Amino acid sequence: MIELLSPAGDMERLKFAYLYGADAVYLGGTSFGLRANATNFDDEELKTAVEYAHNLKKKVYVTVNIVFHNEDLDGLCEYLKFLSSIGVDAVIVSDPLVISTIKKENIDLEIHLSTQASTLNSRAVKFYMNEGVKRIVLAREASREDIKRIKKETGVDLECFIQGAMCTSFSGRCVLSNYATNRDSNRGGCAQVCRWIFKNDENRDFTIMPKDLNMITNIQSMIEDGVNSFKIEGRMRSIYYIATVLHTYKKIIDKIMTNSLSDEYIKYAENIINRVANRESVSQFYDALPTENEQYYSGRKEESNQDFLGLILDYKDQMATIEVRNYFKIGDRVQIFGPTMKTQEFTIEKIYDNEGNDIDLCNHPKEIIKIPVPFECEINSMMRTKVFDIFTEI
Amino acid sequence: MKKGKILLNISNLNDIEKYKKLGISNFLFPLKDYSIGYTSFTLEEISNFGCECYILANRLLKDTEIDEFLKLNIPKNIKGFIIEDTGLYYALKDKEYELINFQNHLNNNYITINYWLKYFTSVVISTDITSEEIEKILKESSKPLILNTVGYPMIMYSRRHLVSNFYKNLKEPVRSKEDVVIPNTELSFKFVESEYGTVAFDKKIIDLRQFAKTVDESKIKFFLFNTEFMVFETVEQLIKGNTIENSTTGFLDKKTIYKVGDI
Repeated sequence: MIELLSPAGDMERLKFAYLYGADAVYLGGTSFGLRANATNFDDEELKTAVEYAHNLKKKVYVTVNIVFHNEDLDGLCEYLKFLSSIGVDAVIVSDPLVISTIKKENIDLEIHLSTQASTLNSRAVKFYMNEGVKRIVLAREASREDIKRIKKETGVDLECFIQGAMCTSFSGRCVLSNYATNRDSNRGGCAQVCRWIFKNDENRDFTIMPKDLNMITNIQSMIEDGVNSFKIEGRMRSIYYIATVLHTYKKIIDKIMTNSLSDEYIKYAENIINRVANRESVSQFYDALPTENEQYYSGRKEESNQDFLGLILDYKDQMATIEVRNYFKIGDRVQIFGPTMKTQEFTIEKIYDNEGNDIDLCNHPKEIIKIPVPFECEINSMMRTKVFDIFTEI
Repeated sequence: MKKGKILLNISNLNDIEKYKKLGISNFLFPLKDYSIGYTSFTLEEISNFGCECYILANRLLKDTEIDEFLKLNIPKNIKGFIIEDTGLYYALKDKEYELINFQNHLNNNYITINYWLKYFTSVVISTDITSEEIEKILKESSKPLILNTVGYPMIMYSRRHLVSNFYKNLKEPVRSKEDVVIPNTELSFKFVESEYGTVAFDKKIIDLRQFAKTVDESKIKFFLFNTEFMVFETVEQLIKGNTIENSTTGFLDKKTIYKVGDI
């Protein structure tokens, strides 16, 4: 079973993740998770999320992956028991105290070892398997050879990151944030100091920031080598980012499974991913150590775009009801993609406001408008600027 | 602090005899190819030292590297290994060595430390925590621990070649070290690169000697003195209990913030 695993920073993102192809999501509660800035899920929302997922026959993994201090111990056992009681499918942990608490208290929870544990070899995997860990999220520094060897020697369920931001350091082995800002990087407060611009002793800028991870070209070999779960980073990313990335990787996996993946499609998918990510992305450690081409040097080259034009709320009688997200106007060439519909494009010829009046443009986010669209649209499909030609199957 | 409880890492072989004359008897040698951020030594050099000592192997390792490690002819004077990688622990667990867990930044509470103490001889306590936290850990620990007492703290460990890549991109002569400051702050770091990645150090020496005097020494296996980047004269002052310049007590009295919302 190949699993596409998505981040979910809140309930809206969770729903879009499942809609656009995620088999499972990972999310954080209000405590003990590393994304303290995300909205996260309180206990009631966690319960709702699990029920929602299980109704779709999908899974929910909860991050309990901070590095604990003495003061953080209160409430952990009760929280783990609560997660078990609502039926979460696994917890993602890095601090072994969570493993020991689950074992000692005999709590019925599957344990996945977080990438924060920086696992790179089969011996470490065997140690953790003996401790009851069922899945290992490998260090992002693991190469293809490492992955193959670990799978061969252990048979463990392997989860690998395939898309998103990278730490400059081994995950967890960095306290730059603690020193520079007093914010604890291993307890959800990372200030991303590795993305700051330093001055060297010649008063010149010096930077250490990596480009993002992108494994589009390697999914096939990862499947062949036994990776079970393909993980996307970004619990604080938008629904458009999540939908686009999942939609793209889902198509890649489907094409691999039907033996129909072409180099042309991979190139198309790379263009889509690079556009939505706003940052350049590369394979990082998979084939070789990152070179000077896998880092940024003079600040984060983020080219923010406004490609996401609107969310399709309804479609009836060739008329789409759309919630506006970014500026567009009559005459614009746009594309609509959705969870199962074929991606198609058209030119906007008419726009009606909420009262049925003709308007020439939309520039109020969240405004509800109607547009005639010459093909069937799914609810919750998304309208985006045409940047690339749609891929046409030969 | 009893000198017999100081574990001192060697960064210059010529200094060993001088340290012995100062009463130091426990030595730590970073092992070439298996340590990072330290001046390292071959097994032959360590063997020539003669006396019992510990080896530091603080890199995160691939299987192929552990394979090579297991082929090494470990000298008889090696008493134990201070290690970061759980896989290396697993590979060495049935051998007759003291194995000491040094997972930098991760050993921050007493339950985690007691978890590791089921498997390891001892654990090095994190330097990222307060005096109260250390005291609680020492009180609750099931075995004597190692207090990271003196040294420039390693605050980041990357597998990337961050410094040389930077200069390759500029098409300038490649460097392996870079001293930096964060503009508009008093913070300065040192990046040091080797074949095995890049580490960053804070440029202030962490000095917990005053605090060390207050702890229950029966709960301490060693007071770790990391001499990397220090000249002998500075280490001598540290051993003699004298004050040194450019030092800090780190997070001893400065609790880190848990969440951004806590600011």
